[in-house]
Amino acid sequence: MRFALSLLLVGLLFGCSKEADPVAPTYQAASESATPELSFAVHPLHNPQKLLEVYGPLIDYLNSHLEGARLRLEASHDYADFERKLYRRSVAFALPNPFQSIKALDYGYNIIAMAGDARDFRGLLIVRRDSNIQLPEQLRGKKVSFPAPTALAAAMLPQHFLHQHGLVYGKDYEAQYVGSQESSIVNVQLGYTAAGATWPPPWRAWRKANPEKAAQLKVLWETQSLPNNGIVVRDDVPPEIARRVRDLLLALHEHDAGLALLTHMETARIHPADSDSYQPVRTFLTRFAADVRPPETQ
Amino acid sequence: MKALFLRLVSGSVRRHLMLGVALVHAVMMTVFVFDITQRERASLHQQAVDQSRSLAEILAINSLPWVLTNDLVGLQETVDGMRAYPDIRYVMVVDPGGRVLAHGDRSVVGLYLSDSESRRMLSASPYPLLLQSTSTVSDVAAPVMASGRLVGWARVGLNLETIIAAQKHIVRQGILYALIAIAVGSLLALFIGHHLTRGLKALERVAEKVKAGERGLRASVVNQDEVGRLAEGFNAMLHALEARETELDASRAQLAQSEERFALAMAGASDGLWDWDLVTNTVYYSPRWKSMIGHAPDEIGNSPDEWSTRLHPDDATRVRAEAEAYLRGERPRYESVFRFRHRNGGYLWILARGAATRDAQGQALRFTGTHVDISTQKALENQIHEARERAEVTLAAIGDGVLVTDHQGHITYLNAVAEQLTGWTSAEANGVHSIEIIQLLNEDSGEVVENPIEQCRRQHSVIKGASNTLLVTNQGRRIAIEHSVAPIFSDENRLSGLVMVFRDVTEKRAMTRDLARQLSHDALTGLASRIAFEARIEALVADAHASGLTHTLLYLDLDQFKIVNDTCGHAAGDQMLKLLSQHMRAQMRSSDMFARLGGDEFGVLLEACPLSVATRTAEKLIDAVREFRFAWADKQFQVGVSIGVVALDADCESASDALSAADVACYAAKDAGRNRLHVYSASDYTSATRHMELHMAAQLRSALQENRFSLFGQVIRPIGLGATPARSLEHHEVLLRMRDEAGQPVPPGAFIPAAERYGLMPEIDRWVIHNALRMAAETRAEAHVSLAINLSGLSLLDTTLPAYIREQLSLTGVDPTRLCFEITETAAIAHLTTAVAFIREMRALGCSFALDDFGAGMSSFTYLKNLPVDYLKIDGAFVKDIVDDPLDHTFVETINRIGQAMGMKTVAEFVESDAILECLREIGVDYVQGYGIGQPRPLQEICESYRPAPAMSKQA
Repeated sequence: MRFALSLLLVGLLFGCSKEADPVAPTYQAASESATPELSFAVHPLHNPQKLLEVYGPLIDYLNSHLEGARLRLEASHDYADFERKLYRRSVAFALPNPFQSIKALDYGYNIIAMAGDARDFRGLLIVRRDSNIQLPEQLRGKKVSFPAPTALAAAMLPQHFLHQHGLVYGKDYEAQYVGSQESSIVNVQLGYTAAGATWPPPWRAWRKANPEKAAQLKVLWETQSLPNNGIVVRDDVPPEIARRVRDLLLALHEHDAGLALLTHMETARIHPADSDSYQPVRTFLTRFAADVRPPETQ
Repeated sequence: MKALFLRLVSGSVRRHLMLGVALVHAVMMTVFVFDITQRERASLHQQAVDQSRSLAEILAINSLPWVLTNDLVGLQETVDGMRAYPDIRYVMVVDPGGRVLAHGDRSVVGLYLSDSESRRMLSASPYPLLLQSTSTVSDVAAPVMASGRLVGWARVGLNLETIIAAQKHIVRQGILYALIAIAVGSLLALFIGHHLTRGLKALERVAEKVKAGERGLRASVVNQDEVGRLAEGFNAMLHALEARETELDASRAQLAQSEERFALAMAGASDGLWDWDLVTNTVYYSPRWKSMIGHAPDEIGNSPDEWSTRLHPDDATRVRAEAEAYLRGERPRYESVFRFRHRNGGYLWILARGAATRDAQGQALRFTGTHVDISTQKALENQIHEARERAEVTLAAIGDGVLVTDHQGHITYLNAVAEQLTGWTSAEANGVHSIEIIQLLNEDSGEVVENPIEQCRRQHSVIKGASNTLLVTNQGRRIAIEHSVAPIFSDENRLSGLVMVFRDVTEKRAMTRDLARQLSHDALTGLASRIAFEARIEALVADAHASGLTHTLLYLDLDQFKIVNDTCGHAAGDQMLKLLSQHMRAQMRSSDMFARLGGDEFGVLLEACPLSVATRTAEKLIDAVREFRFAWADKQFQVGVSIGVVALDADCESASDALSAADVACYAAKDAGRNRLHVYSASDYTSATRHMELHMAAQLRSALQENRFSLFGQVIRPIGLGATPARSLEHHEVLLRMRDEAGQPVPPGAFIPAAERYGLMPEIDRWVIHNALRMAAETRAEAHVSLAINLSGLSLLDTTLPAYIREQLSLTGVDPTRLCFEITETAAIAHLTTAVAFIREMRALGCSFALDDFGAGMSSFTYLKNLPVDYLKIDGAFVKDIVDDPLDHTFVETINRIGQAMGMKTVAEFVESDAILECLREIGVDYVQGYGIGQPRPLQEICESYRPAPAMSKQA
C-alpha cells in the first residue's frame, strides 16, 4: 500500500507538459570585407575604465577621420602588461612614457610625436598636508609609493631626486609599487605611505576629480624635467595610415574640436618628435642606472 | 502470511501500540512530501532564471578589465571559471559586433554569432536581457559597460535538467523519512522492555566476575527495590574480604624494615656507637664513643644530655633540629656534621649517622647510630679555603683582569674583571685550556695572534703583549686590550702555573684613533680636512718634481650657497653641504682625494691626471652640481660651482703656491659668470691682480678681527660769503686707516678696492659708523663738529643699514643733524632707486648727504635732479690742477654753478695750496678740503679738543 502511494506521487510529479525546444547559439566566420582593426595602446596612466573615458573621445575622433582602418583603444592592467604588449609588437600604435618610447625603438616602433609639453614631464613628490615631513631625510625608514618601477617621471625621476638627497634606494626608504598613478596618490591620501610620487597630468586630473581629498595633500618637491611621453607606431602599419594618424594628432591644437580633446586629456598639445628628441632621456637613464638601480628592475 | 500478521497485531498491547504509531507516521509523511514537492518545483525554476541572470551580470562585470585591456587569455580564464559552475550549458563574451572573444567552447572563439536570438541581443539596448526561458534552459545576456560605452556582451545559458533531478530526490527523501518514523516508534517500544530487566542483568554480570577472581568490583544499585537491596548485601561481603588482605600486606612490610635497621647498627660498631631508647629516654654510649672525647667508660652516664650538652653552642640548635626532623619522619636519612666538646675543652669535628626503629604508626621508638671523628680532615679543608679566599678577594679587588692557569695552560682561576672581559664565568672556564678562552687578533691585520700563555709556557719568561691586540670574547665581541703573561715557578724551580694580567683599553685606543681622524677629516662631510689636503699636495708637488708626472688640483667654490644659509639657517646649509659632497664624490675616481677646505670651498686632487682629463672631471662636477636640487622645508634650492684648475707639475713650487693659484683661478671662474671652470695660468694679468686682492681680503678680515683699523678726520672749511671763521661748528670727513700685521700703515687705495670686491665694505662701514658716533658721544663733541662718513655702494643695498644707523644714533644720543653721509656718484647712479630711498629715509631723520667724487663718473647732470643731496663734492682730480689747466678750471666752474643752481653746497677736495684756494674762492665754491686746509688727524684727538670743561670739580 505504501509503495502504491509513493508511485502515485512520482507520477503526479513528473506528468509535466511538453514545450518548444530552445534556440542554440550558432556561429560563422567574419565577412572578408570588414575594415581591419588596429589597436592603440595608452600606457596605464589611469585604470582601464578611466583610460577609456579620457582617451575614448580621441579614438572616436581619429576613427571618424580615418579610412581603411579602425582604431581600437586598448588599456593595460599595469605597466608590465603595457610593456609586454610593446615588446611583443601586439599593438599598432602606442602612447608610452619616454623610457618605454626609447625601448620601443628596439622592437621596431618609430616615434612620430610627443604628447604634452616637455616642461610638464617631471616628477612630483606628494605628502599629506598634516604630515610633518619637510626634508627628504625625514623619509628615511618610511614607505614611498610609486606607480611602477619603469615609470620615468613618477618613479625614476623622484628616486634619483631622493638619491641626490642621500636616500639610498632599497635601503633608506621602502619603495612600494602600487600599479597606477591614482593608486600612488591615494596611498598617500589614506596614509598608507609617507609620500607618493606622480607627475603633473594625473595629479591635475585627480585633483579635479577629488577636490576634497586633494585638499589634504600638497606637492612638496618637484624634480628636473625630461621630454614627455612619445607616440609610437609599429613599422608594419601601412605608412599612409601612420601618416594620417600623425597629421591628425599634430593638428589637434589648431581647431576647437581638437583643443577640446586635448583639454579632456590634460595634454597641452601634441608636438612633432623623432628618436633624436629623446636623447636627454637616454642620458638620464645612464645616470639613473649608475646611481640608483637598473631602470628595468625594482 | 495472514496468520503471521494476526499474531503480530494480537498477542500483546505493546505490539498494537507499535503498529499504530508506524501507520500514523506513514500517512502524515506522504501528505507532507506531496505538498512540499509541488511548491519546490515552481520555486526552483524561478531560482534558475535568477541565477542565470546573476551569472551573466557577474560575468559582465568580471570581463570588463580584460575586454578593455584586450587580454583574451585573462578573459578566457574568467569564462572558464564560469564554465565550471554546475548546469552551465554555454557561456561567452562577445564584442559589440558579435565576435566571440571568449567562450566555454574555445573552438568558436573569433567566430561571429549568427542565430536569431543572438542578433536580437546585439541590436538591443545595453540592459540585461532574458533571451530564452524554457523548462530545460534559461538564456540571459548582460552588457559589458565602461564609462557609459558598450564594449561587449556577456551571455550565459543554464541547464534546468537538474531541477527535475532535485524533485526526484525530494520524493525519495520523503519516503525515507516515513520509513524512519515507523522504525523509531518500534525501537521505542523495544527500549522500554529492556529497561525493566536491566538491574538484575547487571548484578548477575558482577557475580560472574568475582567468581572468576576479580577484586574491587561493586554491583551498581539502580533502584531501592529488592534488586537494589540484594546488590548492597553483595557489596558488603566483598568489602570485608578485601580489608583482611590489606592488613596482611602491612605486617609483611614492617618486618622487612626492622631487619634493615638492625643491619645498619651492626655496620657502625667500629666507630663510636650510640643507641637511644626513646621510650625510656636513656642512651647507650659505647666505650669508643666515650674515648673519642677523652673519657673513660665509667665517666659518662646514659642521659641524652651527655650528648646534647657537648654540642658546640653555634651548632646545637641546628643539630637538634636535624635529629628531630628525622625522628618526625621529615627527612629520609639522618646524617649531621658538628663540633663536639672534648674533655680537654677543645672541640672535635664529628660526622654522625643514625637510623630509627618505628612502630606501625611511624612513631620512632629507638634511635641508633655512630660518631666518626673528622677533625683532621676538616682542619685541612679550612686552611685551604682561607688561603684561597684571601687570594681571590685580593684579585677580585684589582681593576685588571687576572687569569691563572696550571702548568699545562688549563684555567684554574679568573677574577671578576677577567670574567667580564672574556665573557666566561670562573666556573665555566675552570679546567678549560687557555687556548679556548684567550683568542687574540691583530687589530690592524685581523690576523690571529699566538696565544701568549702558550708562548710564555714555551719561553719560561714574561711576555708583554703588542699594543694593537684585540681579545675576542666568548660572545664574539672584540675588546682592545693590553696584556702581559708571567710564569709561576714552584720551590723546585719547576713551572707550576702561569698568570696573565690584562685590561680593556678600547676607549683609550678609540680616542687616539678619533684624534687622528679629526685632524685628517672634516667633521661635517667626512671628507679629508684642509690639513690632510695640503699634506697631500705637498707630497704630489714633490712627486711631480721627482717623476715629472702631472697631477691636477681643483679648487671648488659653491655659487649662491649663502642663500641657503641666509634663508633656512645653518642646519640647512650643513645638510646641503653633506648631501652635495656625497653627490660630487660619486663623480670622481676612488683614488682622487676630495677635501672640504672650509665654508663652501672644496678641493680635489686628481693624481697622475693631465689637465685635459682633469677639465673633463671638472665639467662633470659642474654638471652634477647644476642638476642637484636641495629641498628644505617648503623651499628648493639650486646652487652652482666655480672651479679653479691648477696643474701640479715640475713648474709648481710649493703647496701654498698651488693652493693660492687655485683660489685665484676659482675666482676668475666665478667672475666669468659662475658654473664655470678656469685653468690657472701664471701670466694671466687679471689672475695676478686678483691674487693680490685675495691676499688683501684675507688681511682685511684679520684687521677687522684684530682691530687694526683707526679713524682720522679731515676738516672741511667754508670759504664762501657768510662763512663764519668762528669754531662754532666744524665739518670733518671721517677717514679710515689701516695698519698691516707689522703695524705699518696701508694706503686706502690698496685695501678699499679689495674690500669692495670681496664684499667686506658693509661690515667696514658699520665699524666706522659705530666708532665715529661713539667717539663723538663720549667726548660730547657733537655740539661743535659734524661728521661726514663715507658709505660704499654695497652698503646702500643693505636694507638693514637704516635700522642699524637709527639704533646707533639712539644708543649714542648723537644728534642726526650732525651726521652727513658721503656716497660716490658712481655708486648712487648704479643703484639709483635704492640710493634715493635710502637718502630720503636718512634725511627724514635729519642726516645730510654729500655726493662724493662728482665728475669722476662722467655721468649726466640730469641724475643730479633725482638725487636729493645737500652737498656736491667736486672730484679732487679736477681741483688739484685747476691753477694750470684751463679745462679743469672750466669743469670746476661748471660743476659749481650747476650744483649751486640746484640748491646744493659745493665742496672742493684736494686743496693743497693757497693758489688753489684763491682760485676756488674766485669761482665761488662753498667749502674746501685738502692738505692745504688741514691735515687728517686722529678723530679721537679732534673730538677730545672739543671736550667741554668739567662743569664742577671733584672737590666741590
